[in-house]
Amino acid sequence: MWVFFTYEIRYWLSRPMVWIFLGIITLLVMGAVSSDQIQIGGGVGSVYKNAPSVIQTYYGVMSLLCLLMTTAFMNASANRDFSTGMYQFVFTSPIRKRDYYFGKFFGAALVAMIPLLGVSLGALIGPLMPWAQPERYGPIIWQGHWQGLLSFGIPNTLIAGVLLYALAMLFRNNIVSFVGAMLILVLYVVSQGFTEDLEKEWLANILDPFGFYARGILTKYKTIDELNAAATPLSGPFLLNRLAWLGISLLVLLGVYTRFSFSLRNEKSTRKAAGQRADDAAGDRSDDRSDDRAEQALGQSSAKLAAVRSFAAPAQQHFSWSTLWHLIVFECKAILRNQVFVVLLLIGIINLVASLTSFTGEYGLAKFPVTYDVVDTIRGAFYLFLIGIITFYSGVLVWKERDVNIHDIQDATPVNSGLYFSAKLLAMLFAVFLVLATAMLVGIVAQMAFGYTTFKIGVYAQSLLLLDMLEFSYLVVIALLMHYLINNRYIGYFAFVVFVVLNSFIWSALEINSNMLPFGAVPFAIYSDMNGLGPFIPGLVGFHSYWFLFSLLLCLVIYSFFIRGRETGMKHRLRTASLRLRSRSALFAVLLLLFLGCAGFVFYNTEVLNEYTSSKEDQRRQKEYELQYKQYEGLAQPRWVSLNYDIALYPYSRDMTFKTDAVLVNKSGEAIPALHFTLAALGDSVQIDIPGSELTLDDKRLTYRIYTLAEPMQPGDSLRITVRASAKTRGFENEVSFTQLTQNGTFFNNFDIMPGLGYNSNNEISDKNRRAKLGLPRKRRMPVLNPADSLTRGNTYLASDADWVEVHTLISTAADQIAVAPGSLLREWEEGGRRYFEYQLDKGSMNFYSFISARYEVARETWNGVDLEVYYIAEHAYNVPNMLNSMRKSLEYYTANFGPYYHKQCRIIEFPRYADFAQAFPGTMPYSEGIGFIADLRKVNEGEIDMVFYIVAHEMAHQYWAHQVIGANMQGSEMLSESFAQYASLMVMEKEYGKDRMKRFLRYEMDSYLEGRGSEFEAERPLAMTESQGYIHYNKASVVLYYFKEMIGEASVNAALRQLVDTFAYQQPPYPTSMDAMAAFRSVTPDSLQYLIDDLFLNITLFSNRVVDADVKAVEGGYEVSFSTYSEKFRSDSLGKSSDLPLNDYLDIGVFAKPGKNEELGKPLVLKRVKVDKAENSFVFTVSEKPELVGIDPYNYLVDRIPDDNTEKLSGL
Amino acid sequence: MKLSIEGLNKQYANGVHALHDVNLDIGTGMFGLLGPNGAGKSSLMRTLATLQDADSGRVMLDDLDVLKDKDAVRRILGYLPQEFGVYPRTSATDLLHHLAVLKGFTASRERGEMVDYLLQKVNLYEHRKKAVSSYSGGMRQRFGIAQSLIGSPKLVIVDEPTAGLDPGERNRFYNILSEIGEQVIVILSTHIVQDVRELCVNMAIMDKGQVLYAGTTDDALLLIQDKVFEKRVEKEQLETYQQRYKVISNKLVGGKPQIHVYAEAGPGDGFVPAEETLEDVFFAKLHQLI
Repeated sequence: MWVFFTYEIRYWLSRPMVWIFLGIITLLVMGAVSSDQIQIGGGVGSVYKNAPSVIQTYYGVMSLLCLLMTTAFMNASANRDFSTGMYQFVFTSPIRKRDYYFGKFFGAALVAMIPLLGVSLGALIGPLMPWAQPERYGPIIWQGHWQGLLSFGIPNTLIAGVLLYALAMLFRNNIVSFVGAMLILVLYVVSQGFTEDLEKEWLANILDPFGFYARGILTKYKTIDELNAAATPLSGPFLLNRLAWLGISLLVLLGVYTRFSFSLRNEKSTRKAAGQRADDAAGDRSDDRSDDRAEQALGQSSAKLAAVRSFAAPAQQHFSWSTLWHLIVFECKAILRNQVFVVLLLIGIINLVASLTSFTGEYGLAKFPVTYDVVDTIRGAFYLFLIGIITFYSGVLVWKERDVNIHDIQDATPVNSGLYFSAKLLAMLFAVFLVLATAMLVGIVAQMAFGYTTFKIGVYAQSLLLLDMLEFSYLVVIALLMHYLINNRYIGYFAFVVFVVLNSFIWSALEINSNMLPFGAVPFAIYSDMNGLGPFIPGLVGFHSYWFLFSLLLCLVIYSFFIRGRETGMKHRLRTASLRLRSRSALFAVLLLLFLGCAGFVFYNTEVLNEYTSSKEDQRRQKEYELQYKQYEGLAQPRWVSLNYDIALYPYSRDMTFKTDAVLVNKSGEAIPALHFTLAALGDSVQIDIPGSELTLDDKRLTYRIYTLAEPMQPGDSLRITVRASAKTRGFENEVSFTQLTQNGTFFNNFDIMPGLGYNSNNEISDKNRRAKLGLPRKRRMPVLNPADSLTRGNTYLASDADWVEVHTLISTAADQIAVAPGSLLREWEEGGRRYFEYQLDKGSMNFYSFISARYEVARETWNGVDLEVYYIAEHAYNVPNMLNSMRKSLEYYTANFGPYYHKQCRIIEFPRYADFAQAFPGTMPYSEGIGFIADLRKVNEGEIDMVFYIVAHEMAHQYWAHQVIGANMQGSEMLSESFAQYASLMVMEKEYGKDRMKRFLRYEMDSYLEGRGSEFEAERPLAMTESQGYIHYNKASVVLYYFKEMIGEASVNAALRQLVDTFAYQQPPYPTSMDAMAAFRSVTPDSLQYLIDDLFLNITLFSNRVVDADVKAVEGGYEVSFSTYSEKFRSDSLGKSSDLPLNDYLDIGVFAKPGKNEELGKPLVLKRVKVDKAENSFVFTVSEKPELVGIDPYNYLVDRIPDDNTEKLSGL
Repeated sequence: MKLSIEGLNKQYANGVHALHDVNLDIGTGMFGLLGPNGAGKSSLMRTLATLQDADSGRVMLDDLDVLKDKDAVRRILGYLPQEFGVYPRTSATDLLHHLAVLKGFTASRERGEMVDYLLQKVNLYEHRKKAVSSYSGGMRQRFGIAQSLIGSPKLVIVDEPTAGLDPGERNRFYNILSEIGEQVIVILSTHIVQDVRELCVNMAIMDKGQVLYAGTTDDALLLIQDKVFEKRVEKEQLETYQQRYKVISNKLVGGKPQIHVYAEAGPGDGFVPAEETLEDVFFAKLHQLI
C-alpha cells in the first residue's frame, strides 16, 4: 500500500496542478483577508479579518470550492491506468487489490488537501500587504488554523474524496465524475435551503456533509469578542456531524472496495466486442458467400448490379431551407440526446424544485408563490446551470465533427459554411429555449402544488422566454465566437469563462456605469403586478436592440472565421475571413449602419437627454457636501409650519409638476440673514421664490443653495415662499432613476420633491470603513443621549427643519386613477379629462407624508367615525379583510389605552414592489405589494404567525409612537417609536391569537436579536440608547417589553405609555428622550422590580437558563415531577465581553401537559414565578394530569443565548 | 474530362515540404497514385478535395479552377479520406441520409431510393440499421465508398482505402470501385503496388513531395524490362551485395534473403533474370536507380 501511496504523492507533487491550485487559493484568501473587494463566505463586519473563526470559515468555504479540484485529483488517480492503457500491465502484475485501492485513495486525498493550506498562507500573508489596514487584524492565533484544518479541511476533503473516488472507480468516466461533483454541491445547497425555517434545524444539521450548518448553530450567537478569540472547537452537534459523515464515508469507501475488481470493466467490453465481432464476421462471411455465388452466377449478378443508376443532385441553390432545417435538427439532437445534458438539466431542476419548496419569508411565514417570485427563484437557482450548459455545449457543438473524425467528409460537401454555422447557432438557441420552457413548466407545477393557480403565463413568457432568452443568446454568440476564433477547445472554454467573469466586475472597477459597454448589459428591471414592467420598457427595448444588432455583427465575424478544411494557420484563416466578409459586404454594411444608428440613438437617450452618476461619483459628492457645507450645521434656520401643495401627476407619461406655497417661521430666537437649502434629488430646474431675497450660492453639483434676505428674518417672523419644480421623463435612461413616478403606482414622499432647510447630516457617508478610506473623520451614528442637551432636543430624529405642520394638497392625476394625499378628502372632481382631489390634514403632524396615485379598488369601513380604508389592486384582494380587521382591532386597543386618534381616516395603500417595506405616515400607511398583500395566510390557524395582522398593527401603533410622541435626535429615541410600536402590536396580536402564539413570535425575535449582536459593526447599545440598531429597537425590544409586561402587568405598562402620550403628544420642542420613558416606567413599577428597568433598558443583560435534568414518576393521585435547573446572569459591554452578575431575579418555572397539534407548550399544569438567587435550583411538584415538559423561563421571556434548553421533555413514564 | 495539376507546391508550418512542384494530367478512369508513407499523397488528395490550399500552382478540372472555386468542385466530388470516424449510435441509413442532405438531396423520397441503392451496391443492405460505429473494418470502408458515391460524382478521390483490410475484403472493395462509371475520374492512392497493377491503367509514383513517374503502368514496366535479376543469398552476404550491385529490393523467402538487382545486362554470379513487376519499378524509382 505504501508503494501506491508514495507513488501518487510523488506523481502529483512533481506536476504543476497542485501548486497552481495552492497558488490560486493563497491568492484568493490573501485578497479576502487584506481587502474588502473579495469576500469569501460573506463579509466579516467588525471581527478581525484574520480572526481564528474567520480562518475556520475560509477553510470551510474553500474545502467546498475545492470540490472540483478534488474531483480532478481523484478522477485522474483512479483513471490514470485505464486512460493510458497501462492497466494491462499493472493489473497483470502481482499486486494486492487493497494496496492498490487504498494506497491510491489516501495518496490522492492527501494531495487534495495541500491546496487548502493556501488558506493559512493567505491569512498569514494578507496582513502584510501594503494596502491592508492594520487596525483590522488581530494577533496570529494558531488555534484557528489547525481547528480549520481539523474541522473542515481534512474531513471535507476526505468525505468528498470518497464519493468522487467511488464514482471514478465505478464508472471510469470523466463526465460522470464531473456531474457527480456538481450533484454533491447541489445537494449541499439544497440542505442549506432548509435553514431559513428554524423548525427544521435538526434535519438540516444531519443533511450537511460539510459541517457548515452544524458549526453555524454554535456560532450563531457568538459576539465579536468571542469570534476574535477562538475558532469553533469540535463539540456537540459539530463533532457529531463530522464523525457521522466520516463514518459514512468510510463505509462507502469499504463498500465500493468490495465491488472493485481488476477485471471489472475489461471483461464487459471484451464480451461485448467479441459478440459483436462474431456477428459481424458471420455477416461478412455470409456476404462473402453470397458475393462469391454472385460472381459465379455471372450473367445474373452482373446484370443485377450492373444497373448502375445515376442520381444527379438537384440544381444547387446557394441556400436551402430544408438543408438548414435538417442541420438544425441534427445539431439539436446532438445536445438534447446527450446523456450529460439530461443529467445536468435534472440536477438544475432538482435544485430549482428545492428552492421552490421553501417559499418562506420572515418569521417562517409563507407567501403565495406569485409568478414573479417564482421567476426570481428560477433565475437564482437555475441560471448558473444554464450558463454551465451553454459553456460546455458550445464547445461540444463546435468540435463535434472533429471529435469523431468525420470533419473531412463533411467539409468536402457543398454546403455553405454559413449554413453550418447558422445551424449550430440556432440549435444552441433552441436548446436554451427548451431549457427555459422546462423551467417555466416546473414553476407552474410548483405553483399548482401550493394550490395557487394564477399562472400569469404572460409574465413567464416575457421574463424567461423573451428577456432572459435574449440575454442568453448574447452569451451563446460569445461562446461560439471564442471557440471559432481560438481554434483550441480548452483555451476556448477558458477564454469564454474569463470573458464572462471579467465582464461582470471589471466595469465597476473602472467606474464605467453605462450599459453600453459591458457586454449584454441592460437596465435593471423589476416586474410588478401593479405596473408590469412599466417604466423599464423603453430602456429595455433600446438596449436589447443595441446588443441584438451587435450580436448579429459578431455572428458575421464568426462566420468569417468559421473553421472548414485542414488549414488552421492564422494567416490562412485571416485571408479566408476577409474573403468571406467581402462576399457578404452588403449585409455587413447594412448591419453596421443599423448598429451604429442604434448605438447613436441609445447614446443620445442615456447620455445626452438624461444623465447619471457612478456610485463612486456619488460618494465623492457626498464627501464634498460634508466637507464644504458641514460648517453650516446647526445654523439657525426657520421652520416649515404650513405647506400648500399643488401637484399635477401625468402617470402614463411619467411626468409631474408641482408648486408648493409654504410658510416658514423663525423659531430660533436669533435673526436669520439667509436661507440655506439642500435640494431634493428629483426635479429639473427647481425654482424657489423668496420675496426680498437674492440667490447668492447655487451649487448645482452638490445641490446646495443660499438665498440672502434683503431684510433678515427676526425671531417670530414668518415668511411665505413658493417652490416650483417639474420632472419630465425624456426618452429612456441608462437606469431608471425615479421609479416612484410610474404608470400605475406612483408613490413618493415630500422629501423626494421638496428641499430641506439647512445642512442635512443624513446626506453624509455613514459606513465607518468607507469614511476612514476617504479620510473623513469618525462619525457618531446618533448624538449622545443627554436629556440636558436642550439644543439637540430641539429637533426630532426625523428632520431638523419642521415640528408639527399643516398640510393642504390639491393633486390631479389621470382620469382613471385615484390620487391620495395626507388628510381628509375635501373635494373630488373631473375637469379637462383629468381627476382632481383636494385633501387637508386633520391635525398638524410630522413633516413626513406621501403622495400616491394608481388605479385602485377601495375597501372602506367606519369605526367610531374614523374611515378605515384599504387601497389595493383587484388582483391582491385576498388579505384586505384581514387588514381592515387589524386596523379596527388596533384602533380599539390604542384608543382605549393610549389616547385619542386625531385623524378622521386610517389608510393602507398598496404600492409597487420597487421597494419592499411598509411605512407609517400621519393617517396613511403605504404597504408594498411584495409583502402583506401576497402573504399566504391559509395556515395561520395552524399556529403560524399572521404577518399581515402584525405589520398593520405595528404601523397603526406608529400613529401614536412617532406621529404623536416623537423622540429627540438622540440615542434611544427609536425606542420611543419602534419599540413601543412593537409592544403595542404585540398586545393587539396577543388579544387576537392568544399567548401560546406569542412564544413562537418571540423566539424569532430573540433569534434575530442574537444574530444581530454577532454582526454588529461598531458597538452594541442598551435599548434606551439604541442608535439606528434595528436588531435592538425592533427585535430585542419585543422580547424585553413583553417580559416587562409579564412582570409588572399590562395595565401598568399601558399606564406609563399613556403618561407619555398625555405629556408629549404634539408638543413643541424640546422633544422627549428615552429617559422620559424610563421615568414613566419607574413611576408604575413596584420597588421590588425596579431592578428590571436597569437590567432591561439601561444595560445589556443576558441569561443562560437551562433544565439540567428532569424526572417524573407516578404517585398516588397523579404524578410527581422533579427537576433541577442551572441559571446564570451576565452583563455585556458594547463589544460583547460579558461579566457575571449575581442572580436576584424573578423567573418563571413550569410544568406543562402535552402540547396540542400546533402548540408549543401545552396547558400549564404548574406555572410559578419564583425568586432565583443562586445558580442551581431544584423543584418538585405533584400534578394530577400527565406532564410532558418542564421548563425554567419556559416562554423565553429572558434573553438567553441558547433558548432551546429552557425546556425539556419528561421521560420515564 | 481532364484534371490538370500544374506546379503545385505546399509547405506545412513545421517545415515539411509536402508537395514539391507537382505536375500531373489525369483523365477519366482509375488513376493510381503510388508512394510510401510520407510521400505527399494525402496532401495532394486533400488539396484536390478542397480541404487544403496550395502555396502555389494551379489545378484545372476542364474549365473549373479547383483551388479557387471550391464550392463548384464540392458539388461533383466524392471523397473517402484515409481515416474517418462516424457519429456513435447512428445507423448506416441515417448517416447516409444525413450526408446525402449535405450533398444537396433535400427531396426525401428520391434520397431514400438512392440510399437504398448505394447500400445494396456495397452489400451493406442487411446491416443498414446497425450503428456504423459497430462495423468491422471492411464494412466501414464499404460504407465510406457508399457515401463517396452519393450523387454520382464526377471526381472520386479515394485515399488509401484498403489499409487494414484482409485480402477478401480488399477484393470486394475494388470490385465496387471498378464499377464506377466510365466518365468518372477516380484517383486512388495506395502504397500497395499490386492494387495499382490490378486496377489502374494510368499511374504516378510519388516520394517526398515529388512525382517520380507519371504514365501508364505498361510503360512503367518497360522501364525495367529485362533489366531485373534475382538471387537468393545468405544474410551475412547482404552488405557485400548491396555495395557491389544496385539492389532494388530485398525480401525473405523461406527465411533467406532474396534480392532483386537492377543491371543493364546480366551480372552473372548466380543471378537469374526476374520477371519485371511494378514493385520493382516502384523501388527502383524510390531509390533513384532509374
